[in-house]
Amino acid sequence: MRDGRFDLIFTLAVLVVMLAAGFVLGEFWTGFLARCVTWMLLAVSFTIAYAYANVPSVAQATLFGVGAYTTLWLAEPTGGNLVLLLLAGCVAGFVAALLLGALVLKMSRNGASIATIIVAVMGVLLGNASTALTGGADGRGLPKVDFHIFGLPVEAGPNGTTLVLGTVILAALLLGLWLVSQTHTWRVVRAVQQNAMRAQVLGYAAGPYRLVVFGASGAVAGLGGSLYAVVSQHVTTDIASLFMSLKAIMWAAVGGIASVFGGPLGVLLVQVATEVLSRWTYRSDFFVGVILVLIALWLPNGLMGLLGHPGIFRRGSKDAPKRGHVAAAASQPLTKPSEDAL
Amino acid sequence: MDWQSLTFQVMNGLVWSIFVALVALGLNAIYGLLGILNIAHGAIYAAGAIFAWYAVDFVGNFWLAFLIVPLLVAAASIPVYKAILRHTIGKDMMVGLLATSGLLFILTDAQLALFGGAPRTISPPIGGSIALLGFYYPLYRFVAAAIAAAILVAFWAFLRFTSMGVWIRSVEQSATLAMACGVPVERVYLTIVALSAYFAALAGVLAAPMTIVHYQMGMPLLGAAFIVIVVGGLGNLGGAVVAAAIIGVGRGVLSVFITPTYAEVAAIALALPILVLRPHGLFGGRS
Repeated sequence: MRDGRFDLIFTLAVLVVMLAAGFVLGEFWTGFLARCVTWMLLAVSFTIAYAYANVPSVAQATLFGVGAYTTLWLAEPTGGNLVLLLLAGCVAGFVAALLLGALVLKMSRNGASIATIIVAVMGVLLGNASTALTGGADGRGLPKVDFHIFGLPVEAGPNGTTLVLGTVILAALLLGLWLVSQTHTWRVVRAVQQNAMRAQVLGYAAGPYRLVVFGASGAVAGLGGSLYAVVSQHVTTDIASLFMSLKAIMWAAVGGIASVFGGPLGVLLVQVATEVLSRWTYRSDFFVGVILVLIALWLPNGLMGLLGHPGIFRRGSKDAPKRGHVAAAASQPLTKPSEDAL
Repeated sequence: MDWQSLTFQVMNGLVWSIFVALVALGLNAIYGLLGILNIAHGAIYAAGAIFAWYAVDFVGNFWLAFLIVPLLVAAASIPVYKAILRHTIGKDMMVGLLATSGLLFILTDAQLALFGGAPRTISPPIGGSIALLGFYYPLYRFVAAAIAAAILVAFWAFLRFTSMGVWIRSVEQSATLAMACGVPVERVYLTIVALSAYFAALAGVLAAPMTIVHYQMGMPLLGAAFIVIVVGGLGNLGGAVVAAAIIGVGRGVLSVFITPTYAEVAAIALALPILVLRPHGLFGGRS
């Protein structure tokens, strides 16, 4: 099934198994998986930015942090209305991504990536300097209010309720993205992603398409951050750090960066592996690093690559031919036109 | 306005910018030639400082560390290149980013295991200070900055006047054409990886007596190095030096008027208008 239906069904099945495992394995794992779901949204947001807006954004955690702090600040004024809070996180992430996108979408792909690093570094510095608002590195707690969805009470914290809530939101998002991927609009998005200039010549406004898709990635990151604030009940500037963004990239890459279904699988594999390893050794980060290197070398299309997803790592980047691998360069004729040439 | 404080901070900014430029030099060279955004570069800088601390602690001689540590780190980078980095060249940038993120995790955790999480300090090998415009500035900082600046000039001369420098510049423009002309591209890649590790470790060794030695000390500098690279123009070595000076001096001057953290943010924010007006950086012609 080339339309991604199998990937969707497989990922939803994994989420159902995860949900069941969360309740069977006990309180610790329920809370652990509830946090994982928020990171899955972060990983999905990176995939959208990278694979569909063509921006290898290293500032997705910054947008995640924007969503988290928006929820923190609005919890009391909204009286704990979770629908409004999640929506606010989403909108805040979207707006922040639009502003960021307006800057980075003018740049080359790698230049945009580095510019997002600048924004990520600045974001954390600003957050740490504004301790009255953010609590800095020590963070701020979620206000004690009665959270509810349409009048139904919801207990904040790493528990079964938030695990179910997060999983339902993630599943709905993945289903929605799959439905959107079947539309004509999505074909235009893919055309713009593959070659913006070609799409422009064919009459599509490539810039606004990329900007809106990048904004959507920010909305997903903001939604994840908003949910994270509710699950963790405490937000620090660490969640918006460069390191956190790198983790999001790692999760997405491990799962398979060519597909939005890869991120959730990557989070599950890496975080569960880290948690299990940390019970055997203090050096879990070391082993995670080894896993990352092995995946980069032997499984560059991630877990989704194992499912037969075509992936995007098999083709080089636009710049690859001119500074390509020796063997790859040697095998190419000097006059070979660029893949993206008009 | 306190002119002495202002001048002192400008000096600090200039010294800081030379070290950032030294770190950015290697980062930029690896990006320019291999197309890899080396996230692990900051960990190499930290390794230089940590090994310097051990050398001073056990042997009691800082200058021995200055000579030996960068060479050891450069030698260690060769098997890393052969086993990992060379297999990521020419592939999508995410493959390189993933591999170097893995290296970052490995190196950072290994340094934590070896060195521990507690910050430590090294006494400057050259004591005293010199009078300058009515204030006293630590002599070691002058010497360290002069050495770092000399390394930058030496690298420029290496690129300009040696056959390896010509090869490096030709591979930077087109690896395929360079290889067709008989340039040993593989050796060029290996040389640039080793030199990059050497520069980062050397910056770590020289900076160790001026800062706190910690296993995570490379991350903030990595952020700064990325910033100067993009502001200076990707792949442009001279641009990185100028951008480092702008941000370093800007931070120093601003810290006289506002708190150091806000000064750092404002100095980085100086980069954003430059990027809006010149998306490829101050001296960047490449995309």
